[in-house]
Amino acid sequence: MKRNAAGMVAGVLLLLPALLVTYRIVGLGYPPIPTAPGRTWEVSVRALVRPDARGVLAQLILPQSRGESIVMNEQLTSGVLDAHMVVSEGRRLGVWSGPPSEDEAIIGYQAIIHLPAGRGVTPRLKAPELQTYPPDLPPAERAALERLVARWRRRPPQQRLAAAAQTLGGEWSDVEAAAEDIRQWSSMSAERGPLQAFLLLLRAAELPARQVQGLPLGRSVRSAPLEWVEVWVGKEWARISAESGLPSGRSVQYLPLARDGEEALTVRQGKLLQARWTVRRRPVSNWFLHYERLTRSNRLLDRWSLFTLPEETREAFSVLLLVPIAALFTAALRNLVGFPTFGIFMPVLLAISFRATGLLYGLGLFVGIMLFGYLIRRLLNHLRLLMVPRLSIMLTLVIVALLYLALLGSKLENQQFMSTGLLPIVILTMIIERFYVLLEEAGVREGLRTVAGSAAVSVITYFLIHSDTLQLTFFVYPELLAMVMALQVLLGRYTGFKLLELLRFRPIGAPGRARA
Amino acid sequence: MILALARQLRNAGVLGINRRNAEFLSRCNPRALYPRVDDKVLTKQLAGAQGIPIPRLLLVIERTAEIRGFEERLQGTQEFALKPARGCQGSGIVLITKRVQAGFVTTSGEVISPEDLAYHISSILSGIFSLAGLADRAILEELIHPDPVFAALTYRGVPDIRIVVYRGVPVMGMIRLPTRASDGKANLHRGALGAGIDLGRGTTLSAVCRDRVVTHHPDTGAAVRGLLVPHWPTMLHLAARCYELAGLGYLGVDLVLDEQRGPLLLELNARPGLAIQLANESGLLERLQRVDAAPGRLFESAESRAAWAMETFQASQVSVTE
Repeated sequence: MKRNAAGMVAGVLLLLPALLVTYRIVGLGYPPIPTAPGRTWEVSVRALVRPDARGVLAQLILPQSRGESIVMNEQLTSGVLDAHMVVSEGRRLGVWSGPPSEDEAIIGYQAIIHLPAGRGVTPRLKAPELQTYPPDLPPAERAALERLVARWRRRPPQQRLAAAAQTLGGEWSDVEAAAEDIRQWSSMSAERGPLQAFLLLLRAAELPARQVQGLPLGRSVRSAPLEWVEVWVGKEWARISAESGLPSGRSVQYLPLARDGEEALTVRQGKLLQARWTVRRRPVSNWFLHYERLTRSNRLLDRWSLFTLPEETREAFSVLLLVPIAALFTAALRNLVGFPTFGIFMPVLLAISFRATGLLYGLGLFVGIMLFGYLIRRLLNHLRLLMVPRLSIMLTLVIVALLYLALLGSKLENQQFMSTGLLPIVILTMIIERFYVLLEEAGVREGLRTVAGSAAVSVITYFLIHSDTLQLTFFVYPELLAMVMALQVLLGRYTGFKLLELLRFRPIGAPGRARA
Repeated sequence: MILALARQLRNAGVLGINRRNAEFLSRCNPRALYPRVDDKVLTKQLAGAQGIPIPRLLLVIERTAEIRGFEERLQGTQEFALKPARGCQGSGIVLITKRVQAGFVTTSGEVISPEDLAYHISSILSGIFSLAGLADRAILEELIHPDPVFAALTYRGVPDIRIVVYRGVPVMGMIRLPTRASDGKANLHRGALGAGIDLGRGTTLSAVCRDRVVTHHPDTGAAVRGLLVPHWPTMLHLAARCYELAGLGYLGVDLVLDEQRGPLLLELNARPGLAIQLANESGLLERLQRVDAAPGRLFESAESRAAWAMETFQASQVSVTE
């Protein structure tokens, strides 16, 4: 009965976090593996503007965080100009302005763009409305356009797009159109530009389309942003290069800036002399990314995320969240293997303290303090002091020893000698006492075995709780603690043999001795 | 390999510490009753009330202030055993055989000055030897003179007999024989010899020393197997009675055999160790399960439980001649 109850508790403790994690990944678009690198790019724009008689006024349409793509660490730079970030008509703008001057002015913008690894979860898009014909389009031209597309107007969107895109290269093979209509379209193309003519053709073919200016996210330096056309092909936007008419591959991701014929960078007053649009890879830490993503969100789970804690608290909890795993591990070593350790959680405390001292030096310090303490304990034995005062004296002497070590470290300019702050000295003092009693009563072998056991557990625990992957995973999905608890419950119901017991009782189990 | 070994042990009915804790200690031993066995003063009081023979209590020292006059309070008593009331695994015990001008002579012939003994008592009071490290009391009790029947198998000290009692039924026994390595103490952790006892006959079986099976005493060289423990039925009966005394379903009973007074209850243990299985080359779990399967009327009296145990757990002839 109790076994079943424990099993059920463990089951619930496993199931609930599994559901929550699934919801976070599927419903809220969390990365399934929090440490997956994803892609981060540094995008920068630098332009040189010569002020005219009215001065300088320039505007840059800035990238926006959408879903999993986030924009962070934005910086506007300007030499002598005033720079502002404003939001207008749903767009984010960088605006630079300044008085007339002889000197050329610099406009600068820099940001880090993060895109999720893989394609992530694509949001379901709503079909856009068909754009209207420009009001200045003569009815004759409109009629010619409609005649041109008449043959493929009923085809599926992808085929209509393919046929229309061919025309950007001057190809009309698919269309048995009247030569007169083609000539008219050519003159439209000459008059309005090939891109506008293409957009008109898409309109005639009843394909919603929009013109976009932005940057391809790949290492590049260019003097102007890239232009492309996005065409709605039923469920998603297809991207067509405005220059070649070829569909762009999925391997490259694009950062849209301006839409619907707007220019990404507009200089209203002054003259744009040159511009440089740069994109390059910029690796950033996953902690930073999660922080940026979650603190921007106002969904309930994100607002209660651990990332909203102040930085120092965050750092402490990133380690504390792993202590239960360390405890589980210690319990497993004791109950499944049968490892001897001083105290139950002393090795865990020791491992946490190694954070400040470093592993090797921390271990050395632990062994050194044990030996030093043992010698002191032996000497103190002659004084016949009562236990608690004696422990206090040992504590004092241990601290004095550490103090001198730190002083020595500062003279030798050795940082490590000074980093003893987090060592659980009080607990170590108790351990010294137990070490002494163990050595006296059970012998050197048992004492050293236990010291080695404690040190081994704390080393393994050290690597466990200092794993950045684990820290980040538990920090993003703290509900995983319930799973750890489930394992603790299961371990608590383990009544089988310990590994070392198998060796110990081996003579009884020897074949031929077992009863039938 | 590991799984095969685990299966062998399971088939042999070996009890592991996890199972002992989860299925026997937590089920059979109510925490509230632990003081009855952890505190030797309380154990002695309860045993005295039940008429179970014990080493007589000479003196209890509870406070540091009482240490000063303890020699006078002993009056003419020459020999005694000094113990922590809540000590475990025999730690902190000093055996005194004689008082001389310079102080106290221990069983090993060493002379301890009165100051040293007073310091030891104050250490006991501060709780160094106690189970949970809490403040403790020191007790002085009558010194045991072991029956010479074990002399050939004993290096100094006093051998004692451990009987595991499950729901009042003795299930397994062993005699713990001090060695040079154990410093004359009857404690397996320190290297004493543990010899299994045939519950039916009271004769020793195989022996274990530091978890290794041995046939001879490492110091005296005498063969271990086949020694008859005197008063064996009485001892089993005493052990069975301790169930009513302590109220613990899973109990370790430690007895000693005094030359003059016969079997005496030395102490009780609420968490008896599992090495007894090695000494008997036999699994405890299998025996515990047989007790659970036994008819209900068995549990009516200590006599019936002890008699059932003698009959049921008699070592088979085969394993004796082996």
